[in-house]
Amino acid sequence: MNNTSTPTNGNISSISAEILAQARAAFMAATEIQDNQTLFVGIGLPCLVAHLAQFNASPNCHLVFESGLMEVMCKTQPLSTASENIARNAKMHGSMLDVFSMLQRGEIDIGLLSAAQIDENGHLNSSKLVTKSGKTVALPGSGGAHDISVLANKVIVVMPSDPRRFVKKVDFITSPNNPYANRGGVAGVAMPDAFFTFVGGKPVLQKIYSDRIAEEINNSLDWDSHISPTLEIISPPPNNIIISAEKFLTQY
Amino acid sequence: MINKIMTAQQAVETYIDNYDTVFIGGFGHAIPFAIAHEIVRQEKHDLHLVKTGADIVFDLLVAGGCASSLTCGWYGNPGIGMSHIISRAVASGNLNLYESTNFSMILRLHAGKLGVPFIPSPILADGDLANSPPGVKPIICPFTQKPYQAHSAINPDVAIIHAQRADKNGNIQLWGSVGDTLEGCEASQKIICSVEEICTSDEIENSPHLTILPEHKIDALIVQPFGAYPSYLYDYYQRDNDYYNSHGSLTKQAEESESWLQQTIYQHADFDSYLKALPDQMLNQLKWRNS
Repeated sequence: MNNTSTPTNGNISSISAEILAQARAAFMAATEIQDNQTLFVGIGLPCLVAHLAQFNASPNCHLVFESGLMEVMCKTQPLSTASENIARNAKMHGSMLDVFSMLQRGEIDIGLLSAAQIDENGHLNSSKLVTKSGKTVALPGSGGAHDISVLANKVIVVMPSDPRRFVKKVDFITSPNNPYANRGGVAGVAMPDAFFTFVGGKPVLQKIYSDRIAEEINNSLDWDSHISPTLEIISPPPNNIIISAEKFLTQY
Repeated sequence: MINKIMTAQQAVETYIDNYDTVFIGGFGHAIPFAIAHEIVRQEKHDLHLVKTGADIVFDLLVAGGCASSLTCGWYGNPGIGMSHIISRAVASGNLNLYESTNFSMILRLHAGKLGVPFIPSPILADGDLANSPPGVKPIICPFTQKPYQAHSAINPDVAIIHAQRADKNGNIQLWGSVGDTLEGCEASQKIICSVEEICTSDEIENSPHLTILPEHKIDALIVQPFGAYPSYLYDYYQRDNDYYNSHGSLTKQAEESESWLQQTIYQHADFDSYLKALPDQMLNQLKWRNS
């Protein structure tokens, strides 16, 4: 197996700020997952969320990947939804039709997604960015993201800290937060400091880590958001979680 | 009995025509690189490629000038980055890109497999992708009067796939992650399949649960060990992660892409010669280990 960087062997002070931010965002998202739920997992940070859920508070959650892999133990980071490491830790090698059928039938409790941009309506963009000079930059596209956003019973988005990704209006709506029938759409977005829900199409700061100040977080984004009257203050991830996240992100 | 076993050269010459719609099998796994190499080597052109998520094998076909259009839900180097080659081809007007979603592509291929004109689904009703991909139009359910989107059937002219093994008649056994491979094959008019090895028909009869396509659907059968390299094949070999990791920098600029294509394809008479030119022991090191 390859390493993309050298693991820190449990020395938390040498973990990079970027990895720490990802671990905090993923841990925050994992607090939205209940044990025994079925998760449709996207590639990237969503895999870290699934990993942290599975190896901590939600050991019996069921992971499904769009390639058709089911009942996966997500021990190391997969680069694609069919990667060898998750294929080896799957209880079933199904097809894409199998898992998207489950999604369409309403059998997926939570879709875990990330995106290039999220806006204050909860719409997601993974298709193209428009620069300030008006130039269009292509991105790889929806993949299954649009399908998950429309069809999962609830969608949890996880984003790295970069505030430029939190925009008033996305450049392109790949995955709309317009619930189909009784499906929930995008329930909220986890970031390294906090979790915002979308209520009546507007973002609400719902959870923060106890080492952050709600007003500062609420004002840090270019969003017309407010702090929930029932704001939850939770403990940041303990060291063992951060070490486990670091190991997951640096080995594949 | 018709002899379906042939070289990749014969199979591509015989069964792929310019302007064909071609489905490429394999999804992160079992990607038919050897057949794709041969398509590029024979300079096929104006192909319409269809796929859910298009991996870097599409870079070969697009850089080789084989495709004039691509209909897919995603394209790039999975978990690593963008496809510079496809982005350049789209920007220069050499490739028409029809962006959809992975589920819409599965539904369209499944409709093709079922022999029905479309399949309804609520996806692609909203957002900026809605109504933009060709082959998706709004309809009303005749039973419930609820709105749906009709995802129209795709029936590719030919599917190319790679699998672990087959008997000489072409009963194909593929296991591990199959992704969209079956939907694509069963929607297609013709199937070209490369396999690692030919086994006996007795071995197939002893393991019919592994057979994914019956012989009567197969047009051409190619014996090509490591035919999915640099992707992986379950129980046979692992992915060459270094190849995928270096792909972005080797294809970032047009000139670099050209020399990458030379070294990968044009300098070799066939896929075996390409494999022989790889560093010593590399394929040995990639062999599947049950660890």
